[in-house]
This record gives sequence, C-alpha cells and structure tokens, in this order.
Amino acid sequence: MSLRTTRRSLLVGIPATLAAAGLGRYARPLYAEPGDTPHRFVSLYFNGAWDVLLGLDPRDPGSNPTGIDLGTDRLPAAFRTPTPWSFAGQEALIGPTMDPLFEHRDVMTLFRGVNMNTVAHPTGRAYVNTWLPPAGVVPKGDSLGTRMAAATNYDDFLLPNVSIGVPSFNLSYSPAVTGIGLGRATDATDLLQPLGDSLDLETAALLADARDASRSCVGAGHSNPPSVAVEIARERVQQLLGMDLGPAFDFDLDEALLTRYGIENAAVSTDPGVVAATIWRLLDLGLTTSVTAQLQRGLDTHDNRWETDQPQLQQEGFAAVATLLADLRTTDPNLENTTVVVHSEFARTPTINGRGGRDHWFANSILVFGGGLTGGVFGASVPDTLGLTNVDLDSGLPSEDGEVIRPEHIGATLAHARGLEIDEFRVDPLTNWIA
Amino acid sequence: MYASTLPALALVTAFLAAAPALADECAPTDTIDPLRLLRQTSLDLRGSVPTFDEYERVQSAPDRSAEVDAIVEEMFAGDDYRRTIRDYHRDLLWSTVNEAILAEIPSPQARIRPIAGIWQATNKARTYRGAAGVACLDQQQTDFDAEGRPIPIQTYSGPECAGGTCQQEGWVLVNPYWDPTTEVQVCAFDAQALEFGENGLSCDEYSVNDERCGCGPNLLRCGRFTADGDVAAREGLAEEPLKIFEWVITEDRSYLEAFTTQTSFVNGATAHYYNWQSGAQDPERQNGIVSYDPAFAEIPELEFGADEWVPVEREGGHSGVLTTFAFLIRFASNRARANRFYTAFYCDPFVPPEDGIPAEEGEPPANLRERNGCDGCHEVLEPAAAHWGRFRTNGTFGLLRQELVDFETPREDCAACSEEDGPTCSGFCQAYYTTADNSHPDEFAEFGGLPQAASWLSNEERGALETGPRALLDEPDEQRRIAQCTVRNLATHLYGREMETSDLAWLDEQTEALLASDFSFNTLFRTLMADPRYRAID
Repeated sequence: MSLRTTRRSLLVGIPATLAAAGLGRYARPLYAEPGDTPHRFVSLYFNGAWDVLLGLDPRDPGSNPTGIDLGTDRLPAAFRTPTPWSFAGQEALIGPTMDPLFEHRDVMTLFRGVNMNTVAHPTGRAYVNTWLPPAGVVPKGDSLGTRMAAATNYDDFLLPNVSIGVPSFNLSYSPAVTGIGLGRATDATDLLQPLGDSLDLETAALLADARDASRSCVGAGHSNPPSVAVEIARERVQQLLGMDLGPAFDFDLDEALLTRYGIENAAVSTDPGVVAATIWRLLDLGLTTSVTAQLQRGLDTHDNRWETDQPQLQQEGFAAVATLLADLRTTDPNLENTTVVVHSEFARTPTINGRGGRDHWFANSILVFGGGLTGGVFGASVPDTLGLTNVDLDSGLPSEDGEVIRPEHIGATLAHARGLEIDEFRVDPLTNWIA
Repeated sequence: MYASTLPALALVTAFLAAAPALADECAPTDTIDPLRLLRQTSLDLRGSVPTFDEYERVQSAPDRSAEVDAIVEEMFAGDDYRRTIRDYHRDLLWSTVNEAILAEIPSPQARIRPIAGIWQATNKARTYRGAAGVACLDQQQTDFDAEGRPIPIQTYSGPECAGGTCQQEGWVLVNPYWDPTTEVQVCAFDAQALEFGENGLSCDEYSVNDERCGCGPNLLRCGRFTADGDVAAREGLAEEPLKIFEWVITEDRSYLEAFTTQTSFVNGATAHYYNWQSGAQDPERQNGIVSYDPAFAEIPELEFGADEWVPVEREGGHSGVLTTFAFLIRFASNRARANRFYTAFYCDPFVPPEDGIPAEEGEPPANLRERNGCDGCHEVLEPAAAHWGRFRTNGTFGLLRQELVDFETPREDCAACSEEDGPTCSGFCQAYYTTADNSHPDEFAEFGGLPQAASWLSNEERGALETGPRALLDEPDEQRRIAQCTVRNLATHLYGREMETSDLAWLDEQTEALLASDFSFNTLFRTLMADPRYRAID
C-alpha cells in the first residue's frame, strides 16, 4: 500500500511570499543535497536498559570470565547459549535473544563497548534521543529523528517526523520537521480522524475571522510570523483528516499484517508488534520519513525477573524489529535508503545482585541496520568484566592508543552518512565505517 | 444560535476588541498591553484563558493595568492556582505512580474482579478451590458454619478436580467499600470476613494463601482489579506530595517546610490504601509494598470516594515530600532519590566527566568515590544518598525502624549468608545489607553484615542516616542553594527560557529577596510576574 501524498500541493494555497518567509529562516544544514530517493529513518528504543550479555555482547558460558556472573543456570534453556554469526567478513558471538535478527545480519552494524556515561534512566534516555551528551537529565540539541527528517525532501511528507512514546526535539531545523508526538502507537488512529463534531457555520466563521485578525507580535529578531507555521500545520491536519486513513491503522482489518507481526490484540499499545506495525504503516503509506519509537519496555530487571522477563522481552522486541526490517527490505533490499537504529539507555551489570537481578551498567551496545554503514562489529567491551576499553576508531578493534566510543560517535557517523553537518557532535565520524 | 457556542463567541468578541491594542505592543517594548498581560497571567496562574467577564472588567476600567492587578490577586486566591502549584511541582518531582513505576497496587489478601457479574479472586481460587481461575457456583450461598464460613454446596473428587468440578460455594451479596450503596455478588470464600487466618495471624495483614482469610467486611482487604480499579489510589498517592506543596504555599509557609514537615494529606482512596492495604505481616518481607508502619501515622477513616484531602501528622523521621510514598516509589534507590533532589531543588545535576568515563583500569576500586571517572559524582552522591538510608528501596515503601536496621552493629545472619558457601541469604539481607553475594569482596571485608547504606561513609557522614533528607537543607548555604534554584526554576518556567549569564546578578537579587521573605513562594511568584522579564517583549 502506498499513498504518495505530498505536502507541496497544499502549500499552493498559501501565498508564496509567506511560504518563502516561513521556510527561509531555516537553512538546511546539509553539505550535500538530498537525493531523489526518499530516505527512511527508524529509531527503536528498548526502555529500561537491556542486558547485553543475553544478546548483543554475550560471553561463551565455558569461558568463565572472572568479573562476569553469566547466570547461565538461572536462564531458560533457550537463552543460555550464544552462537557465532558470520557477517561483513567477521565472526561474532551473538546471544540467543537476537536470533530473530539472524536473517538481517548482512545489513547489521553492531557497536559494542559504547560508554553511556550514565546509569540514570532519564539521562540515558536523553542521550539516545539526541545522541549528544545531555546536561544532567536535560537533552541537548535535536533529536536524531529530527535531523534525519531534515536531511530529506521533507515537503514530500505530511508527517515528516513522528515520535511514538518518546519526546522529540527540534532546535535547529524548520518547524516542518518538528516531531509529531503520539503517546502510544494506537494513538495513530486518533491522529488521523476528526476528534469531534464540526462547529456550526456561524461559530466557525467568527472563529475564522478572529484567527485572521490575530497575529503574534514578534520582534525583528524573529523574522518569521508564527502564523505561517500555524497555517502550514492547519493545512496539513485538514489534508490528513480528509484522507480517511483511520482504517489503515485498524490492524484487525489486515489479517496478514496481524500474522506477520505476531499481534494477538491490536489494541495493546505496548506490544512491540503493534508498535512496529504502526511504524511500517506510517512509512508504507508515505506519510512520514522518520519515526522514533519506544518499541519495548519492562527491561529494568533489578530482581529475579531478569531470568524470565529480560530474555523474553528482548526476544519479542527483536522479533518485531526483524519483521519491520523484512517489510522495509521489500522495497530496499540492502537498506541503502533506510537507517534503523536499535538501542537502550544503557546496559546491565556483569554481576548479579542479591535479588537475583542485574543493576545499571554504562558499557552498552547499539545496533544499526543499513544507514550507509559497512556492517560488522565495531568496538568491544573488556572480555572478563564487560568494562569499557579503548578502541581504534579506524579499525574498530581494541587498541590502547584508541579511545572509548560514545553515543555521539554513532550519532555523528549516521548524520554524516546522510550528508548532515555534524559540528554539534564534537567528534569525528567513523568514516571507515561508512560504505 | 446554540447556547453552547456563546462562551466561544464571547471570547472571540473580546479578542477582536482587543486586537487593535496589539498593534501598539510589538517588540521591542517594555509595556505590555493590559489585555495581553491578563491573558498571560491567567494562563500561568490558572492554566486557562481569562473569562469574558474579566476581559470586560479590564476593558471598561479607568485604570486597566490596576484592574489586571486586582484580577491577578483574585487568581492567587483561587482553586485553579492551587492546581497550578500542584502541576508545577509534579513536573519538578516527576510524581507519578503509573503502571510503569508500580505494576500493581497490592492488597493484603488479593485483587478481585467481576467475571460474569460475580466478583472473585482468580489466583486465590487456588487456595479455596484447588486451581486458579475456578469460579464459585452461580447461585446464592445460604448455608454457613458457626464461624460464618460458607459450607460448600458441592465438593470435588480429587485435589486436581479430576473427574469433578472445583466449584464449591455460591455467592453472597456485599456492599463494597468503593460503592457502599450498591450490593454486588461476591464468591462466598472470597467474601469471608474472619479476623484471623489458619496460622493465627490477622487477615488484615498479608497472608494471601490462607483459606480462612477473605476480603473482609465490605471487601476492605482486597484490591479492585478492574480497568479503573486502582486509578484512584494511584492518582491519590501521586498527588500526596503535591498536596504538601499546595498546603505550604497557599498558607504562605516557608517553602522549606515542604521538605521538612511531618504533615501530609490523605483522601478517601489513599486513606484506604494506608489503612487497609499497606500492612505487613512480616516487616522483613520483600514482596509487594510493605510496611507503612501503623504506628508511623494516624490515618483517619474516610469514605473511599471522598475527594477531600485531610491532613495527617506523621511521626518524626519524615522529611516532607521527600519521604512520601510517591517519591520513594518513583525513585526506587537512595542514589536516585538524592539525584532527583540535587537536580530539581539544588539545580545541580550530577554530570559525568566531559570526555566520558575512562576505559576500565586493571583493578578498579570497589568504592565508587575512589574509582577513576566515577569519583567526581559519587564523592557527593554517596553521602547525599545516605539521607534516605532508613527508608525502604526497590519498589517498596516505608521506614526501616531501629529494631530492623542497625547501622552500628553487623547483623550476623546477613554477614554469614552466601548462596555459594553458607546458608541462603534472606531477601531482606540481600536488599538492605552488605552480603558476600551482593557486594565486592573489598566492600564485604569492610562492611559485611552492615546496611548497604552505611558503606564507604565517614563517621560524620553517617549522621545523615538517622537525620533523614531534611538534613539536606539545614545549613544556611544549603538553604541558599535551594533559594537560588527555586528562583531559577520558576523564572525558567514563567519566562519560557533558560537563565543566561546576563541574568546572574538578577538571579542573586531574587535569591536574597526569597531568603528575606522567609521563603515565601507566593511573594516570589508575584515578584517574577512583575519583573520586566515577564512583561517586556524583546
């Protein structure tokens, strides 16, 4: 299903001078012009901090790492044994929770030993939203999803940038790419249909008069009347509501999609399958080019739910990622025009605490599919302790002369690969890892 | 024209009438149009636009600015301002008890739900009827024994109900606590009201597997497991610290009292929670929310649906909002509690080194106050977190009294336990004490058997364990930090921007003024609204 809906057409109704004034203030911070093929960006967040030892950065149970309690005997049998995966000319041990992603390893780049610099949830969440160091718990800069939307021909999309269950920030770019926030995936239906009865004509006319007579008083330093942005937004909403897209997000009408995403109850907004299916629908309909979403939650397993919930929730989340990737690859087999980032705010401790769970740990791992990267494993954690270690930024291999990789390295690399200026990240991109 | 459209049209008319005046106040200017000021203050103080009558009052007043000031004073006295205070502090405290924070509000017996019109505890059916999810019979229970327990109408043939049915008793009619005027059908075993269980312990405390213990009179001991069943309790518990702020501010008490007072507030739903659902059979139990020590506060009996909030006096040991249920549950570890306090009320968040935590050393010290890259924050964070050392952690709530936790003498069972080498550690030892299983060998060697909260503290810092969080603001320099942060928070909120370098001298002036006003939040609010920063358009 594809509706190539463009926002350019609706701009026709706006006086050209106003449109120009409204958009002119925001230069596109690109060093390259966006290509003709739309690029899709998806950022998927696992809330609560995942245990990388179960999936992204496991250890061989027979290796007996001195500083790691693998807790193998406590885990269900299906989650005990990692397997070696070959991809991008490398072989890496991958934990069983990631099994659903095996078929997509050819487009996968796995960053290990990423220093999150925090073990506080809100700080970590802020970090993986903007991929810039937050100030305390306050995010700094733009959301990566906003940057990515800004790197596209965003006028071609009614909802260029959508966030589901996570905040979205836009300090630097056109209001057109400010994230449209959905509290939950199932709110998409509400977004796409009128919320109530129309006003009677007389009231509507008076309100329209009042709207036209009003204007915000802004100074010379603010060259663009907000009324332009408001007018654009109003037109977008009216066009959206006129498209009758509500049924497209009623998944009960699409048995094949329910099956594909393993959805048992389409009303359960926290089901990663529902979230992933919503993302796919938004992208497939051509409504958006960038979606940032909380895909899975419940991973903050400080107690013995670590044994059961942690592997189960990880696997369910990765299964939803795998289905979404499969859908995305139907039109972009090698994800040359697609970036999918999968992350959590940090990792969990290598030792098991007194309550049978794992606490917060800053040495994280992060997954990228496509994104213009070469694929393979970049970086490492200390084999015996899951600690941070220096990495050569060219080879991605451990090196005493290297440095510890941080989220901004990944943010800068993904942004650079999309042709965006990256000064704000204050680190060099990992250019050797850009295809 | 429909009557319902009149308010909207009135506002439109008022707005159109005001429109010509807007032409005079385009930036930059330090004079704000009174109508615009009215709208701005109304939104900030009440969260809504002015009424038609208020617009009319200003329009027709000989001194329009003075009229706005008069209306603003009325706003300060109104209920909407109280809500604004609560909303503002909800943002600062992140006060919520939603399902992501606390999966369920537990209850001493069970949570019951209506299935086919009959209220029942599906899990506890295992105790009464041999298997979970087995309902009672759909007929009224009429026969009871001398104790008032239902006599089974039919029995089953085996413990697994093989070849038979586990259904035994019928239902009885009960007026539930959440709607005492209505009778509902409740499975008779679930509705039992005996005082003591099989084990001789009170059924008012947690003993969910005792077949003699039911939901009690009016089902008081059971939670209501429906879509909106525990919303009232969740929302009420989250609101409790906000009511403390509201009380402090509307009575124009020192803002510091919000962090030191023993006074708190309950409404019907929270009083029910504290009276009926938070008791602990075993204070060392680790499952569920335990131990709002009954002697810790005298909670009045209120109707469950009572919206009114009434004050309760807590025993010494509390620290205002910082030891309320919502704060302790929302921030489950002592470090998280200290972190939120430093961030929200000192405006001093813990920030890692600019270049990040360095690569791991060969043998990093167990003490985070000494570990390279961690020391910068933890040198301050550890003694700050110790202020909550006597409060429960990890999703439980309440005070750890002296008889439970002694910071001076190692507890032998916790020092000796180890899953590998000795007796299994109790959940209580593992949660609160330094054991061989939950600590670094160096930490265990030095602090084994002592509460975790006491580790790596100097003798002087250990005083915080007993004084509680209120000791974070008992020194003049700490109060000055809070004053400056309070000004900064409110100014950022009202002016819609971060404070800048050029604001620093002004910030100091306002800090001094707040201190001189005995921490009057209302005075600060009025001052910041009168400031050119609020009224100018740049």
